[in-house]
Amino acid sequence: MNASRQSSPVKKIFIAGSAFFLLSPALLSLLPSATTSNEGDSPAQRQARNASAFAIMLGEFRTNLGDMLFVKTERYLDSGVGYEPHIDERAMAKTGSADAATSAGEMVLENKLSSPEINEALSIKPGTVASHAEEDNHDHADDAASDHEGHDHEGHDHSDHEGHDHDDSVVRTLIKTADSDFRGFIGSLERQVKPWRDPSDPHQHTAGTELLPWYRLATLSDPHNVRNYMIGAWWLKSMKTEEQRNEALKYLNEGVASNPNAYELYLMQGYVLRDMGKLREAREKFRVSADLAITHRPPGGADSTSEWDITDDEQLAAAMTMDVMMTRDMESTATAIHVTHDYIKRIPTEGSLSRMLGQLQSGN
Amino acid sequence: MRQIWLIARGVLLEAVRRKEIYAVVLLSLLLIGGIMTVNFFNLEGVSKFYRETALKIMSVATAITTVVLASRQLPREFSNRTIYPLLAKPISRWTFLVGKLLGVLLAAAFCLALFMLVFVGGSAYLGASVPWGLTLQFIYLQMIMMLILAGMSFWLSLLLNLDAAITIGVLFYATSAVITSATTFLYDLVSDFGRLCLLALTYILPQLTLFDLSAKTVHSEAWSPLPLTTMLQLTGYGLVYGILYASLSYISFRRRPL
Amino acid sequence: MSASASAVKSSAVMYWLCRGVFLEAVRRREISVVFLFMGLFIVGAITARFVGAESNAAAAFIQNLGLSLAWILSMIVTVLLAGRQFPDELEQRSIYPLLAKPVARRQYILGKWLATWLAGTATVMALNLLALLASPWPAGVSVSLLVQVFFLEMAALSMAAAISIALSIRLPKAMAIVIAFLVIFAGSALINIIRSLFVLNPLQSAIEWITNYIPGFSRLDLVNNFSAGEPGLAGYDFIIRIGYGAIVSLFALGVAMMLLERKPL
Repeated sequence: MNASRQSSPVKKIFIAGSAFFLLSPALLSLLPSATTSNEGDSPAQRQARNASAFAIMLGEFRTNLGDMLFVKTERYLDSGVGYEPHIDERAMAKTGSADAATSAGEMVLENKLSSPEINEALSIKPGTVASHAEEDNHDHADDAASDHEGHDHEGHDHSDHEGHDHDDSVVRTLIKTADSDFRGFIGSLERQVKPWRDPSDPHQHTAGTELLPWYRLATLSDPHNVRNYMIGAWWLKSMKTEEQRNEALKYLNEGVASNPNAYELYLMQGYVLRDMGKLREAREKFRVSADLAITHRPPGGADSTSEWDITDDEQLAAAMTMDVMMTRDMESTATAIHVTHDYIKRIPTEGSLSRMLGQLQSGN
Repeated sequence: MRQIWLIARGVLLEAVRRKEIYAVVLLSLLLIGGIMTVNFFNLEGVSKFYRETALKIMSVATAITTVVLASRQLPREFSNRTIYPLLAKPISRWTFLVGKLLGVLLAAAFCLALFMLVFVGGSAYLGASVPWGLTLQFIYLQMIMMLILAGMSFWLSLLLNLDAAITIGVLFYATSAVITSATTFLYDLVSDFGRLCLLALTYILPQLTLFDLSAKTVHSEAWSPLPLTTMLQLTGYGLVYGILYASLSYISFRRRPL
Repeated sequence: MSASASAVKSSAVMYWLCRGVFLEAVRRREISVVFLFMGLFIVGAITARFVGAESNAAAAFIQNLGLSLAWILSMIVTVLLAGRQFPDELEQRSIYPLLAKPVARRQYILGKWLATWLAGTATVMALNLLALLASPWPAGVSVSLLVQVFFLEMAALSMAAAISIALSIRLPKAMAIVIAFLVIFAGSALINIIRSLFVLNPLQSAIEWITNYIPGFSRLDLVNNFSAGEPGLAGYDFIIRIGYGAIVSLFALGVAMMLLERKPL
């Protein structure tokens, strides 16, 4: 009797606690998503995370697991050599120069993901869009290079990234060189035990396929890290097999499901579908990407807010260009001109659209 | 020598009988297996990921086992009062300590050997090659790291209570690489006096990161095994700290009233 | 009269339980170990402050390191302290005379939780204070967010203490502590992994709901946001996070009380 009286308050506490706990997911759903830099993937939020003390000290121990794994992939590309994380992504975005970034991985991202595809999109000649699906190699033409100053990719073949040396500007290694290391023989031992190359040596980028499990794990641990979906899909696409293209598409679909507003994922879907020869679907994705990007673009464009940088502008330009050029190839130049006019109406400040319109009207 | 071996054998047998090592190995296997069950885009021949996760888990699990095992050797002898009949025999405290240390190292070697069997088996299953030169050097250097950790844990267990000794030992292991990076990072920011302090810190604390060859082992296609001179330097560096901590443990042990 | 006497008795029980936990924490030198670690940071921070490192980036770095250490170390103290209360008292049989007195088991749990939570809170506040005093103050950080960080840390410590106690009632001490650490430091990653496995799956919404039952401590850790110069959280956002901490703590305490009620001693 006494025992049952004693346990009665316990039952009440347990029932009350359980009831509140069962409803706690509803409470959490009221939390605004990605309100803090722990959770978002905008350049500013990423920058904030990676500027934390632990991120700086460890290079790879980013506060967000998705970022941490992303850095792991930087290491893989350089045979395990650790380079310093970037200090100011926005400075790089402003100059367009790799000098402003100190992370090999960021440069890889810049070199391999954004610019080549964008160059590719901006430099398409009449009739090449549809046939591009069958090409194995693609050299980036020169005429679009001026559209994004500082990205020096003229004539640079990006079809095969495995095993080629990049003559990048000097990026400091996490382990210092002998002449700048105060630790004497301990520093010397560390340079022998750890993968290390002199920073002035060119980066020797190795096979990217070994990276893919890390991207898979990165997006599993942080499904809102859009960069990892983009780069993982890019590597899968670059393997040029039907199976891996399908895997890339599935991977991107998963990314879109978790990040429905990430316009760059639709852009990548477009590239993959185009490689698969599904041109209508590809154009649809490019259009969705452009529409979404225009919705999110601040009126001032790049650098008017920390949420939108030059890479975003480049990707938007790529989506619009792909849409216009594919429309021209699949339908007619007149329809393509109409689509271009429509884009110009929505973002009159985008210079590449006027140039594209000029090219279309002159029949080039 | 025989006395050292008998004590060491006792520690090893107890560690093997208590089945804790098997539990650690099993838990690690489940972790590795769990990660490998994820479908990585139907890719074949991807070995670096497996190599890296397996080596990291092996290393962490062995270090934690070593710290826990070493930390509780001496306090338990005192709390169970089993140390009194032992020291009543003609065994010096130094012999007792060295025997315990050797026993812990043998248990760590047993743990690493189990992991290696699994690692090699897993590599064979995945069709991945094992870079033997670097892998053997990795294991050797891990054992030197375990010597330092075991010596340090002995000393800490004589200064603090068991929980605190284990916590500090594990924290030191976990933050050792951070401390190394932090000193390097801070060095550029401070004045001459600060630099002197950082230099002193670098030489006072053992740099455990020097005994972690996993990165080169993972990216073995780009790196060769370390030259013999480097291995000898690393051995010498590790032995200095191993002997230092064993000596500090001996001093604390000798001062401890029975 | 009787209600008042009962209240006095209850608060007395709480007082003695808290006192015991505090004395034990000090006696077992865990707190000293934590402060030893913090001492190393302080020496480094003060050295850096007075001998050169004055840029805003360096200031932000040092302060972030100190506040992050305060968070991690106080979590470790709280879990170690909470996770071993019941197993140790059971092993040393000191729980029997305690429960033989008119101390209800729920009071025992509540007292232990309160004591470990207060010990954790005292630790984190002291460490935060030390970190802030030792570090230079970077420009552009929000004081209001810093205050919110402190309150959210208290909520997180409450969760950590309650979860550790609940786990330790049925599990062996070491296992309870390891699981508590995994939940605290890897829980959020686990939530994401499980959710990602079910993306584009019909069960996606259900899985998202279910995974919200895994305690996510990263929701309550905004140290990096503070160091990054982010503004304070909106009022409702802050209240939801605090409320979440309170709900998880209440649930874990309810479970702990229920488990202890049913455990034959």
